[in-house]
Amino acid sequence: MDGGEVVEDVRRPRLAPHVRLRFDAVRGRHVLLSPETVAVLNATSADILLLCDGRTVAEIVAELRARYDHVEEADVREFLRQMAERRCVEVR
Amino acid sequence: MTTARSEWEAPEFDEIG
Repeated sequence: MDGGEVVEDVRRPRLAPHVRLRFDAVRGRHVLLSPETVAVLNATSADILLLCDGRTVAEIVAELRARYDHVEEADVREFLRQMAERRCVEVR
Repeated sequence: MTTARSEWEAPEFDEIG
């Protein structure tokens, strides 16, 4: 799938093999390391990527709703779409 | 009987080349 497609409920996003998700103790935030860039993540974007462990998009949203109030499903899909567009996430 | 829940924030990231 390329980044332009809609991230559907049944898709199972995973981190791409060439990226690493790390907690940066200096910044106090998670960072996503890829060969070209470092992306400094806020709490919700880090949580989404940490949940990309084989769950479906629907399961990720359900887990986020257990942790946060007023989760916007569209935010989650848009973030995953952006990550897929950057080849940081593979959506199968 | 609860776990505190956080308010949702839109996911954001800053890319550093």
